[in-house]
Amino acid sequence: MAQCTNISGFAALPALERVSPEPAAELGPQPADDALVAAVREGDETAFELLFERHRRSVIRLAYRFFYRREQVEDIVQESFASAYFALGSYRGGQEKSFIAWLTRITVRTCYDALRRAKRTESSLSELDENDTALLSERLRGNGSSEIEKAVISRDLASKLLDRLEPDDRLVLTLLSVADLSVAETAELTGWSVSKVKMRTHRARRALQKVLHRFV
Amino acid sequence: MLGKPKVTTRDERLADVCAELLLAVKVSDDEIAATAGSSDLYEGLRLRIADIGARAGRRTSAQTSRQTFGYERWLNLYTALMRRPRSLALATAAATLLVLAVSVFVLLPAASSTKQVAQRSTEPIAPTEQSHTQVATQAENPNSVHLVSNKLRRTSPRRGHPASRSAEVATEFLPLTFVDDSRAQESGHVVRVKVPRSALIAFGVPMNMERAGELITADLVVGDDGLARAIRFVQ
Repeated sequence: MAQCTNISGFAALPALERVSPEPAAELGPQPADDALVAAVREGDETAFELLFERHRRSVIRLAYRFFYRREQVEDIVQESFASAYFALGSYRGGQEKSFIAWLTRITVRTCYDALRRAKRTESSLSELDENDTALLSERLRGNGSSEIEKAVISRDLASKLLDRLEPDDRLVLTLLSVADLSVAETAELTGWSVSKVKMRTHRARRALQKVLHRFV
Repeated sequence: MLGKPKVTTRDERLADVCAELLLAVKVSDDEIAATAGSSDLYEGLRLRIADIGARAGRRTSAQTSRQTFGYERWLNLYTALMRRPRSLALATAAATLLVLAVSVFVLLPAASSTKQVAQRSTEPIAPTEQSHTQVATQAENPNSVHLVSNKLRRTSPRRGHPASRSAEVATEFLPLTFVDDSRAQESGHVVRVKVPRSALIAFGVPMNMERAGELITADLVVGDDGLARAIRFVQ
């Protein structure tokens, strides 16, 4: 377990002594992320809250790429920030967007772990109803003239179909196509090589087409 | 990519639907704001951090208590051995057994030789022929009580031998009985006894008066008639 700061109400681990009890607001009107991280390490809870307020939307948006239920997204957000809190000791800033990039890596890893857990316990919620099946069939066979074919695929249906992919395939397709990241950025977030990202992308697209081909 | 304005092939439709699926999971800014504005989000985070920290603290205290009793040291050793490849663990066990076996073989001869020395020191010392001769000579000449020689004669192997640790040092045999019969002692036996240290005075052997009450070891030459003929003091 990485070192944990002694924030009131948080874990009662033997932690760093609170050296500067001044609230984060006194550090400046808009302290930089690195300054807030340093304050958190010193035991300032308000600094951690500021970091949370500043970056929670980014984490929520990324979590919604993978999960469509709100309770799942909230769980991912809390787990990501908790992991970030306990890993603050290993954070090495210096760049302007170091913290958000570091936090994004943690969030991607958290989402990936959640996808793997969900894959092991697939539920009936991912089953399609008759309307969904009909919609897909018409969309894949038709020429775009009927009303059904013109209907937009809902996020619920899309999530159910993407749930049928392997976690690795879902991860790479989501980062590239949904989050609009480049291959290099995806490689950096996942820790994979660029060639591996490309290979997995190709395999993931074929896998998704294979899922949809059942409805043709 | 959204919508189907023209007639497309099946593969093209498949690719379009795939793309549409991936875009469909994007969430609106309103929904993000609604989720971010939840008052329970940060509170749940604080509780989660506290729970993780509390569990980590319990693990740390358990590890500390094990260390206190030295259990952690053995647990780490066991865990490290088990984590290693099986071949390495077997090799380590074999090496340990080999060291133990070598130690047994090295220590066993030393223990047996020590036992032999102990046995020699406890056996009644059989009178040697030389000592018999000396006693006979001294017995024949009662008036020639020789001055006691405090020359000590070694009765055990030389120094340097492992068994010499229990080496005995003894005086010459000193005559005890003035007999009329001038015949030489033909037979007898030596008996090891303990006598008061003050007996040394009678024979002119220097003695530490502070230790007068202590007992010392002595060898008595006893004749067939049961009379003690000579004595020597052993250290």
